[in-house]
Amino acid sequence: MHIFNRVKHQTPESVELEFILAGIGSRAWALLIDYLILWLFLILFFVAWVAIVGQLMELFDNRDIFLWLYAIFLIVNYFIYTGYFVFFETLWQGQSPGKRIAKIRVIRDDGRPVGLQQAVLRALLRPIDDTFFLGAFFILFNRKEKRLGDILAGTLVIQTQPPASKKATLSLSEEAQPLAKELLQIGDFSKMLPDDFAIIREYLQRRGKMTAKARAKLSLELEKQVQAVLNIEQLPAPASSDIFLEAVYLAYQQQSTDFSY
Amino acid sequence: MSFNPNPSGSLQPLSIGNVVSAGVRLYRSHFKQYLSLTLQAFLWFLLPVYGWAKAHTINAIISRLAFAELINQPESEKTCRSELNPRLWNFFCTQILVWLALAGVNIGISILESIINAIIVQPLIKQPIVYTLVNFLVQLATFVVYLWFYARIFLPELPMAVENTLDAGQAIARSWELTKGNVWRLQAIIIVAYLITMPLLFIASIPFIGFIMFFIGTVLSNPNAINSSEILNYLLILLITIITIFLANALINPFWQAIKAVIYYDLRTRREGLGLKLRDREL
Repeated sequence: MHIFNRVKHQTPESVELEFILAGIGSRAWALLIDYLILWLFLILFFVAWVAIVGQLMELFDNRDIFLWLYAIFLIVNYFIYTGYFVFFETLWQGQSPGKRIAKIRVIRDDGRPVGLQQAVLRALLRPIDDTFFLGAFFILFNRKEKRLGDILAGTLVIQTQPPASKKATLSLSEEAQPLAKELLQIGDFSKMLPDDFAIIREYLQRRGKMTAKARAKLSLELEKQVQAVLNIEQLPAPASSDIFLEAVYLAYQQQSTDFSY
Repeated sequence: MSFNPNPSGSLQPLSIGNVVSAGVRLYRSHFKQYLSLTLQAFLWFLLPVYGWAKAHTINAIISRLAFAELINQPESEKTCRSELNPRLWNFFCTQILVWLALAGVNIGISILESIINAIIVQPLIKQPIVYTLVNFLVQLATFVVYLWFYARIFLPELPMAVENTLDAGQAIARSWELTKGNVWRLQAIIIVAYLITMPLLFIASIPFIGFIMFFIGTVLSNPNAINSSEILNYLLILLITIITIFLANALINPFWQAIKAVIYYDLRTRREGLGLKLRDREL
């Protein structure tokens, strides 16, 4: 069982696409950020409007002008409210600033990016979805997590996939390189699978944020497991678990590049 | 049944939104079980001291069951109960300590706030815009500081329920240790989770809002109109309100316990590399 709903779509070319739906948490998080930004815009606009009106009223001293300015104020307010989402979702292919931070995106039901039409429909229905939290109930109880705006515009909100080739920012120590060379001599790297390598890389990437105690324990356990896999009984020279794992990381990479030739 | 909390199936930690969604999903898939546990907890809560301890233990049971689901080692309610029931008083002490700590924080912040108010905010009262702005910022800072402490001692019952920590102080220290460096994320998670409970709280408070409006309406139009039969009506509405609020809280409580389990799971993934091990192979 998956925690996240998935939606499959078959393209006319019979390619099956699978999307992971955003989930109520990410959508609420994105909405919170967007509304904070939006309110900031609206407050700035209000302050500017008050300043301008103050000046103009001194100049003209006419009540009609005030009514006109008030009408303009209401219209511009409305345009900021709807325009914010339309502008960003059209420009950023279905993402508003909040959605960007929450790593979600609006797409059409068939997987294509949203256009102006969908963005406008979603934005126009937004006030209704916001009333009495209607949208939240729709998202919770609709199988495809669609609020009214999504149903009408024919859109889905999905998770953006993390970039596949995330640039590894690994800082390896210098002692690891020579050890890697030795390990290639004594270890049986054909036994090591890409999954094992992924675990080691994951550890090396995340170790900086781990507690010292947990890190010491984990690296020791990983070292034992890796040594068993590689069939290494004794290290050529004593090295800390971290350096050993770094060396295995390097060695595996070198070994797999050698292998491809 | 395997429960993979991560959308991409990898070992990556969860995003803020996904922690909350995972909590919702966990709760939905065990709705009856968690809700009936919560109702038991709420009933126990009516009995002072022993009942309170019992209620906190049941909450910890919900969280532990949810965590067991997350690490793919589902546990039966019976085993979980028999494991945690002996620790009844430990859970109780932990909760008391958390309350005391938060009360202390609250008092400290209030004192600080009133000092800042007297020195910085009040002198600005002649400039209404600046005054409002500064006042708002002070309020915001107060909220953030309180939430900071709240987040750091958010989940002591989980280490106690899962790791066999028996000492209340140790459990809180463990919560403090795990949340280190993740407080901003946690604050966001707590706010977003709270936001999601808003629709329910809103529905639950409809009778109360109706009651207030009705009451004010009658009193304003004719202060002498309140007779004994109307007072009975008011009492009835009040009773309904109490019931709906009670039900809403019962519905929301398992959600928070599930969220705590997901946060705990995620923090242990981040801080301790939970789940990072080479796959077992057949030898």
